[in-house]
Amino acid sequence: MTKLTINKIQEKIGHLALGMLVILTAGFLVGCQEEIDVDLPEYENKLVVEGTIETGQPAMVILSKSVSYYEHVDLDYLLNKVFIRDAEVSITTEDGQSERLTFQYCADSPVYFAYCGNQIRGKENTSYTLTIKYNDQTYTATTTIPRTFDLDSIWFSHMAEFLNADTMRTMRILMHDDPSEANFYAFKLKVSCPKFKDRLWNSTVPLAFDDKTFNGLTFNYELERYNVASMFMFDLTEEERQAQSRLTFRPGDTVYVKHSQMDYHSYQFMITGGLEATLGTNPFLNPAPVISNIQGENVLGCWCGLASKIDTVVWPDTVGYLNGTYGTKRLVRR
Amino acid sequence: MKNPILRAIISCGLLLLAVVTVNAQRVTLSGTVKAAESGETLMGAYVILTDTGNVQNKQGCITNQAGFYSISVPAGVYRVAVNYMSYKSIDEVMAMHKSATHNFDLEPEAIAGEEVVVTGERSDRNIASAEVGRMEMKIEAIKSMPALMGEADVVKSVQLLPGVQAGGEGNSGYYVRGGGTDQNLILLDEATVYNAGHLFGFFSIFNADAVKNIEMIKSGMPAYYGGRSASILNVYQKDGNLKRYEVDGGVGLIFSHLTVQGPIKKDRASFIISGRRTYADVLIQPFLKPKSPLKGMKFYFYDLNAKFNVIINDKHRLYFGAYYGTDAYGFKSNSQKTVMQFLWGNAAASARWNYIINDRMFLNTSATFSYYDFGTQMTMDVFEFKLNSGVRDYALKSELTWLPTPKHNIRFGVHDILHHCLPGQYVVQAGEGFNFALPDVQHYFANELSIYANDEWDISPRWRLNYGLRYTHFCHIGAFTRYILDDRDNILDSVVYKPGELVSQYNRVEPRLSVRFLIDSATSIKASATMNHQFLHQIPLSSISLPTDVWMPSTDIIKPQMVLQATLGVFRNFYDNMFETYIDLYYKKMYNLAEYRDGLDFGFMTINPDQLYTFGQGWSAGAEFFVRKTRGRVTGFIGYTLGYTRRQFDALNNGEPFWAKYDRRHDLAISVTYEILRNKLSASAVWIYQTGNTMTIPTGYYFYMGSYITEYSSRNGYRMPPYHRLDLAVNWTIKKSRRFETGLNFSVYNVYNRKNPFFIFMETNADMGSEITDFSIQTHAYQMSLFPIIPSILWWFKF
Repeated sequence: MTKLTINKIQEKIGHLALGMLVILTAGFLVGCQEEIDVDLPEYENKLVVEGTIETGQPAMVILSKSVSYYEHVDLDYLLNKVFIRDAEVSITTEDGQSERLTFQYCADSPVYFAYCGNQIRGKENTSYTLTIKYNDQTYTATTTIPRTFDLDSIWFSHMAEFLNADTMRTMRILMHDDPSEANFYAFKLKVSCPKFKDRLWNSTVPLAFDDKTFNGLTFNYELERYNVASMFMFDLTEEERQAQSRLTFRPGDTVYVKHSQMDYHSYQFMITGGLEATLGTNPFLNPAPVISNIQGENVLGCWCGLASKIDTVVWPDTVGYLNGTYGTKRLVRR
Repeated sequence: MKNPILRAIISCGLLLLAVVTVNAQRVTLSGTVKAAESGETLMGAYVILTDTGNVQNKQGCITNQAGFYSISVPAGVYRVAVNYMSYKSIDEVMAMHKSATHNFDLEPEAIAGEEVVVTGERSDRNIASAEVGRMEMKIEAIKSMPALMGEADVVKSVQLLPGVQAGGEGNSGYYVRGGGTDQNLILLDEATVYNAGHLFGFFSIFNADAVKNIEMIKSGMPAYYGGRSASILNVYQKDGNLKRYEVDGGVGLIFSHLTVQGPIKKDRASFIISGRRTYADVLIQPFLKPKSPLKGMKFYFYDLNAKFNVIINDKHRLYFGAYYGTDAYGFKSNSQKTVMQFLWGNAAASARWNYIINDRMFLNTSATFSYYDFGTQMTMDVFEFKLNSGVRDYALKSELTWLPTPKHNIRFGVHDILHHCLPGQYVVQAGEGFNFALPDVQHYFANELSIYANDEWDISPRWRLNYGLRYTHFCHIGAFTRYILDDRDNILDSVVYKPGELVSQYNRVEPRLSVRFLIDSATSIKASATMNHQFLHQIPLSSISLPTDVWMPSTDIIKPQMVLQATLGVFRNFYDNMFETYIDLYYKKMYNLAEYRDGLDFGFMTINPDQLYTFGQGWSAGAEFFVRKTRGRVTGFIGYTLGYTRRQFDALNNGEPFWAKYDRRHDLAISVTYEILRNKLSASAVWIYQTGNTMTIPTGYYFYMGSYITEYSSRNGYRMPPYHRLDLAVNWTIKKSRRFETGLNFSVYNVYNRKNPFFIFMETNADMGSEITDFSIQTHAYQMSLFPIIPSILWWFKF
């Protein structure tokens, strides 16, 4: 069995670049940093589409406008000039069914509200077209939900020896890649513990990955909890926010693992957007454009179909040891 | 004859032969010019013969890199003058009725207490030469300039010349007339140097104590140079004192250097060994607390130069030179469980055989080896990650210089290089049961075979032509596996090539032409038109040139770069060559330039790294202005370049043209040296002003998945603040005699403490506040600067 953790390699390369940066800057103790005013080129606000439809779930679409970098953004600006409430949003299935989405409170939205559907729910191997009418402009996008897949194993894994392995662990999964097609994967995590309960699904790093380098192989993969949804956690106390922002797992955690597949165009957005979110502000790298799948003038974002399944693991409800030496393992019911 | 390339080569050869007319009435004077005190051959010395019966009848030539000269004149009585900077001229009368060999030993002027002129050339060479973009810098001139930490730096000094742009602090590369860093060929005694920077480019690898001569060619490149399309930096090591033992050294604040040279057998064989090492990492250790993260940290570089030369007889001479240098930087965590280190190093070795076949033919044959290796290792407990990359060159070169008449200097040669590039090899281990089985990394092997012919032809006293042709056959050879991808980069198939099997090949012809028209003895006009092809490529991953950047040969995907350049310049000297000036205009068109594709996928590094690239073109144009004062107590120069350079790639910036990273509208350098007490005390100053680099800057952002994604300006759509800096130095020679010299060098880097931008970065912070209504998002821009004002002192000695 060949085992690969490509995300680990990519992460280490990122660390390498970071290390180089550290040595270049911190190493030269004489270096200094100062805040400066930058005369930025003129910026044109664009429509941003954040839309998903998952297997078994109705569509959810958040519409907003992009913001000039030096714009002062407070709650009032956010609510009245960033997020859009007066657009006409609808989806259509490949067999002609359509549904207009309504703007409403939505617990699964990072910003608490979204355009949500009700009747049409995501199905495997089905395409969905999103149509947005806003300010006399029409924007469209089509996504296809591929098929779902199962994991072989999930387990809480020992971190490096310098950390207390009894109270802090990461999570790994073992799965087999289908050799007959190109696959584009994404994992998300939700944690429930006595101190807090995640309202939203937290992404792992990278946001998505493909099977280019391990096509048809069985591979294990470390799921790193990446708390991307912290910007709008208005309802958390500071203690809860700190607890919620942890990247690892503790005894007593119940962890929900959502494993999804998406189509190529959604993956393109996730990989370029994720790269931008994690590396983009590195001044030594040339930023890459984020590739949107929305058709229209001055528009950003993604309409993403996800074929998802959810598994649950509980610490310390675990059995066995992988290879006798490393981590504890829990087999997942199919 | 159907092969047009072969036809072109043969035509060129016939042309060379046709223009050569041998005069049987002539006699030839040949030999070598050497320094009397050390026996070191002098490259670039002038030998001028004046007919005593007719003073209008003058013939002259310049010694080559082996100090060899040859000059043919009608039989008669001649006044022979031999000139070389810092040395007493020889002026003697010789009766020449038959061909003869005569070696000249020049006495140094400085010891005799006379004026030292550090221009390094015959006073009107800049006017007379047809080599349009060639500039020489003498190591004495470089040593007199202010330098970071007092360490004379060859590469930093060359970067002051017009048309040569420094990458900036922390960047080991430099840019010539809008070309990339990979378009500069750096040669150390004919061996290629792939990374000329120590400490991420803060110092160059060339130890000034071991360097004899430096020349930079940025246009009108003669046919005997190839492989790079923007410039040649040719660094010659000293040969070693043939007369007596000599020790030079310097003790500085962060590193010291020592050079020892002397005869192995007097006047027959000599050696020179020179080394440098930093010791900040050693000095700091006693002052660190046991748990300091700097404890045990590697932070040093060292280098070693060695050269031996053997004079077998008047006809044969052998040289063996080598360079080895290493940089090591890293740190350990308090627990010692996290270790990160970077190691890189260059090695270059050369063996040369000089053979004076007869008084008109000189043969130089060399075998060289170049090696550049970068390695990093990161250990986090059981997790271990290693990355190695590098390049190795094995080269053979043989060149015949033929001086059939005083009007022709013809050079034929053949040059073959075997390149072995390792773009990146990963080894990842994470304890038992978790070793990653990565595909074998792709090594790239290539062979570059070139033949060339070049002639410098004095058509008339006013017209001089330097023309030549270079032909290169480049082939990418196995072992190699080419992966066939679909439009979504999925592997469809693969083609396996056996070791030595041809993968792809290119045949390229490079015509070179430069011409000089002498208006009068102090004024000339020079023009050039050249075509250069480049078969090796280095594409920076980051916005600055780092040691991690890998070299790749041309493959079926990466086509050879092609650069066309045309120049036109006016050169004029004033006040009996006291002031040299020129204005040089250039225009360049560059094809098949490579950049990384947007949305880099590191997974390809383990498959076919050349599939990470995208290709485009570039243009650059500019005007260079240069004034140099060569004599007197005040010497120095002012160089200014007005430059433009743009790039266009279909797959980048929506296909729109964009300014290159190092597009600099204005680049000004002023260097002044004032000799306060002759041969005792001098002060020097360098002021640099450069338009800021371009960068791609955040202009907006949008919210997604509860976080934000940044939007950017067009590629390189923002220009950073300008870079400027003043450095001062005082050189005090405390004692100077024929047997012993010692002195102090005081220097101040960045005198007015200018905070020059190293990079600019932006930060966005969400402030949650105590109430929901307090929520706000702030954005800030920060500039990181590296070196503030840095005073330093260096004690040097020589005996």
